Amino acid sequence: MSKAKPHTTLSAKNISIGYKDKVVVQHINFEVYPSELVAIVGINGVGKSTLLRTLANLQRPLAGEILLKSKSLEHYNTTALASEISIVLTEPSASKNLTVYELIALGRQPYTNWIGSLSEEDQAKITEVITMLQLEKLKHQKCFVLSDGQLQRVMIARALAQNTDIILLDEPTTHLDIYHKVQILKLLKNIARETGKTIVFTSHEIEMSLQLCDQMLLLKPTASPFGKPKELIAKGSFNDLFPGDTVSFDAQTETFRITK
Amino acid sequence: MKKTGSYRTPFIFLLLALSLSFVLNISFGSVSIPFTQVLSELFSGKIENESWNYILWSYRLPKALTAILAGGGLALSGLLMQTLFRNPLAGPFVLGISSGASLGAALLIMGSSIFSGILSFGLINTISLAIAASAGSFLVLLVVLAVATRVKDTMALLIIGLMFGSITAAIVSVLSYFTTSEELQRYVYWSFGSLGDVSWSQLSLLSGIVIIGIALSIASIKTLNALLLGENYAKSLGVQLQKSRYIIIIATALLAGSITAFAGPIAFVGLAVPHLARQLFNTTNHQVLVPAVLLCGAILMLLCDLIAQIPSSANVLPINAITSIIGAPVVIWLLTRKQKMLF
Repeated sequence: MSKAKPHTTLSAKNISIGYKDKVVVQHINFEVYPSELVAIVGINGVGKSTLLRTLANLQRPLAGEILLKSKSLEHYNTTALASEISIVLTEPSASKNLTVYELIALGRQPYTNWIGSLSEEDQAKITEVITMLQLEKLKHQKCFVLSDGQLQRVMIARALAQNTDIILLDEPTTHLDIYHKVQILKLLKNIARETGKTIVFTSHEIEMSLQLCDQMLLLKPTASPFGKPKELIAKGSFNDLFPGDTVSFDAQTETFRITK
Repeated sequence: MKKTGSYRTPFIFLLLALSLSFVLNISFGSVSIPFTQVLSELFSGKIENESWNYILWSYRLPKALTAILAGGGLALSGLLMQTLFRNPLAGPFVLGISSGASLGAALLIMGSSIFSGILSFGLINTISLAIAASAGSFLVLLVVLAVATRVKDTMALLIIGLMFGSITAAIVSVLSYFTTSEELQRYVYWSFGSLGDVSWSQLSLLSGIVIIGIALSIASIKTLNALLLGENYAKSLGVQLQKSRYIIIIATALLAGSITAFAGPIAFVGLAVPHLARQLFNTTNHQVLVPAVLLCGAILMLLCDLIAQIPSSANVLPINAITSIIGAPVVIWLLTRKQKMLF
């Protein structure tokens, strides 16, 4: 990670996203690097989750190309991709009957044998992740007893255990109060710093993202500005993020104000 | 995942329970054979009475082995369905596989008089019934597989399976309206389920199919664990979803289809046993659950069959009724105890 010019881990070349007969967003361009925390923001329904799903290869872009470490995402098969990109989606684990340890251990699947037995290396990695996210006390708890904030940390721990260079998170702070929102975002920031991973997340927390993220993508249907928060503010990119005159962006304080 | 060693005690307990229920199962019946004689026959091949020997080898042993295969196989297919469909109420009946088997059996038994000339009554024996039931479940499986390629949502697939059940029930009603009372009785008798009509040669065929189903399930253990997180997470962990879903569905169809074909529809084992096993082992890890449901299912079926015999009586109760009478309260008990059902 100490290279003078790090290579991009993930980049989008003029991609369009959406579904079979409906284009949601066009002309998305961005380049993200190791150790970066990147937020994707935008109005409800603009296609943040669709973009994240596209980046995770859960669906294909309608046009353009996504490059993962300068190789097209299409050229990775499911198995190869599993050791490159891990995800945390808005839906938590389908089964809540797993213990915290079991759930995190599932992150090791790309590396385990045919029946999924954990090697010593796998166990060491899981313990490392549990320590890092301070989940020791919870590790034998079943997921159904956890609070939303705890469960989110467990899902992030699972993604970390997968040991990928890129982690994608879909709205990791929804349903959390401001304390836990900041806690999760700072955690993501620290992970990116300490491990050199690229972390991309979608969020409605624009003001917090401005303070914490290295780069931001402002998703809009036809043109989506991308860059460092300060640059985006200077260019006035936030001014027309929301329609009408309900809220307006104050560049001075980097906050949104209710228009009176 | 906990070390497998910590599950050794419950597994040893289950193996002992299986041996005990097996011996109990073959010791009781309309003719009472002393317990010591049964053990002596099993271990040294010596028995005082020649007719006891005949009863044991021609009737009770194949029946007990069928019970083990049916109980274990149905429970395993229930586990596969619950994980695949992320639904604690799923079981071999939901995919319509058992319905398909019933439809096959109904068409053979009751359709023969309506479409007279094609099949005479005399042709209907256990083998032709098994073939008809297998064909029925296999046909439903083909349709389900075709739908599975088009419908990505497993919940939709679940509902489609339920609809197959309704269609089957409707066709069976129509058939029974037109059929003769003897044939209706014959179909109803089949639908009671019976473990005792399976001969040694049929048993070897059944065990072959069940073993293939178990092998496919064991090969799917890692995938099943990934599916506990949900399909998107499973895919992100490197699971090839479409292929894995096929393998799991085929395993279920082989298990549930073949067992229903030979032993008739047996309710609740597939639904209730996976929940019992999860309670017993307090885990949802399929490395533990796959062997656990096989053992629990086999034990439960042996005990249900033991009850169905009504020890020392000539009457045999329908096995399907017994499994329902025991299975339904188990599900209710689990629900009230845990407040919610988890998979």
